[in-house]
Amino acid sequence: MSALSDRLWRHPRLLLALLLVPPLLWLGIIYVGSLVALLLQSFFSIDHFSGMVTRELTLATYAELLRPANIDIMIRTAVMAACVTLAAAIIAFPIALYAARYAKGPWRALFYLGIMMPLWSSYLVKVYAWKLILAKEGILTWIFSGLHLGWLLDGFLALPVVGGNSLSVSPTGTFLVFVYVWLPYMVLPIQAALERVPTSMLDASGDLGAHPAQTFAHVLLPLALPGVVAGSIFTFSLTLGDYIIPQIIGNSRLFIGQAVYQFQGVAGNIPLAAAFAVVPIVIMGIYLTLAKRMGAFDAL
Amino acid sequence: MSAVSFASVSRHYGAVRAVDRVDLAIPEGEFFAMLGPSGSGKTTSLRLIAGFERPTSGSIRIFGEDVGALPPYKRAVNTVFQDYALFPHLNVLDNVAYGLMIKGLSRRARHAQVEAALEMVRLGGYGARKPSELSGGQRQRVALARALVMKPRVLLLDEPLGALDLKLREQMQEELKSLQRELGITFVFVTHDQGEALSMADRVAVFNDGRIMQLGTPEDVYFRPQTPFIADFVGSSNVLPVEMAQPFTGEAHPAALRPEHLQLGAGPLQGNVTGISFLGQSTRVTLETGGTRLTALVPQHHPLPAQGETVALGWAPGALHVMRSA
Repeated sequence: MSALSDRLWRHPRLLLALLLVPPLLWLGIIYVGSLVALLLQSFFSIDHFSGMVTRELTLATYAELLRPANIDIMIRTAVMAACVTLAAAIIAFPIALYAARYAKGPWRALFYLGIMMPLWSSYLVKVYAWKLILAKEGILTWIFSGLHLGWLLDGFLALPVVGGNSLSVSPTGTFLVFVYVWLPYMVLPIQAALERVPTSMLDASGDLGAHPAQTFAHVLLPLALPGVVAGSIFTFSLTLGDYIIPQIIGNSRLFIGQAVYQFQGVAGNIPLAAAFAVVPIVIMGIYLTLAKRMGAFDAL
Repeated sequence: MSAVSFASVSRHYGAVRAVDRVDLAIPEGEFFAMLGPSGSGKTTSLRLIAGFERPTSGSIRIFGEDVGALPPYKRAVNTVFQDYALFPHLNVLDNVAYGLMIKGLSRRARHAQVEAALEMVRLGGYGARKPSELSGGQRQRVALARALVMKPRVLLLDEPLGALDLKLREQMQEELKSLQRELGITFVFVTHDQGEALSMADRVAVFNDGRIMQLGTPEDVYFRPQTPFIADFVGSSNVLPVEMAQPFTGEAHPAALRPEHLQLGAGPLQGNVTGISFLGQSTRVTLETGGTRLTALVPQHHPLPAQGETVALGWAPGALHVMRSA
């Protein structure tokens, strides 16, 4: 044992290699490798008569991907992901700010617990719970009518695009549940970013004549921005890829995740499913490039 | 009119009295040092002037105006922070221009002023760099320029030299002093380093346990300490307890004796040498006499006693300073 330790101490590179090889193999082969295999599939096509995959490189599947019906799916998903991300950021920021800068001792622990606890219970249970809350006979409808605001809810549900028969079968319902389910992923990175801002920096801003709103805009927000972007990567990509929430809550219009699920499952069209899977990757790439260009990572 | 004055100012945190009934008046144009060990209330006092803390009781005036209800962003004082607190997402130019930007000055107007401020701290041409690309000393100058560009009537400095190495610190002491003379602004400087306080300040307030123990010129505080705490903390002086000092002073008070004034070889006391350490220009000899630990600084080329030897101890007439407030 001691001889082995001595040997490794004299050959630090050997130790590094021993420690790194297993995770690199995992990352390289199982993770990236399977993703590349999937992407390769998108350059194959399906023979619509036999239902067999033709193993020849072609862009035919991408031509199929860009049909108007599929473009609709992509736009719907991207808009939903953007709305969910924006709403999550707006709700998460004050929570994170409070938890990072003001909560002390047990309050802080309670806050962490409050944020993390929803992550520990089953995602499906929560989504079905929301279905009941949002249903026509659910508690929300009951509260609105109790407050004599039933007309407001009905009026909202009568709106095109966002409305539906009830909240549980409307895009608004899908949106609400997405925001609820992904919120912790937004709170935690923002909180981590805010905790790293030294108090002296906020003092310095005030000292130089900035009132609290100016300090927020010119110091706190820019310094927290990498955290917001990190959180938004989670909420945005999780929404782009999810297929369960829009299936349980919402109308019959598809999201990318559902399309992938249907094409590779029921339809057996693996190439098109693979091509659909490329879409979130491309959207995330564009999003991160824009974020970088807007200086979101300058404070890193 | 005083630039800054405290009238019985206290700041309590629960049962802890960080600042306890402090009175002081700092005249305009003075280089004022607040000296003390950590937790003595000096930094809290500075933060009270800046407005980051509010006094539990008492009143603080800045140029005669009671600032008790004024938030930091409405006070005509600016601060150089201990950790510099430069904004990492802004370059040097925008850091220094921050206060002017908040004031609503146009980009052009603030750039002219920022360039002048950077020249003043000898960082001309560094505007485009990020704080992370600067050395500690350069960051310190940026922090100074950022505060000075606001043309404060009082500049507050919270241990601004603490993070610099010795050589740079001595250089910055000189620079700060000449800058203060040039600008004529009131400087209030917090430090735990007595050398720094003595070499730079016009007057020094020595803090301990939230109170000012002594307020006076560096010479006063150094040569005429009023309490054993100050004798020890400010000058590393020997403190002779009452029973040891009384035969010589005739007063029932302890006395301070500077290590360089304690002579070995002849005198009324006997001491046992417990330690000898070479300091360069002199050698420090630690002695024990009647349960009291004394230190003597023996200049270069003077004969040294041996470890464990018993030597006679004496001092020049007038070297013993009686501390009557103790």
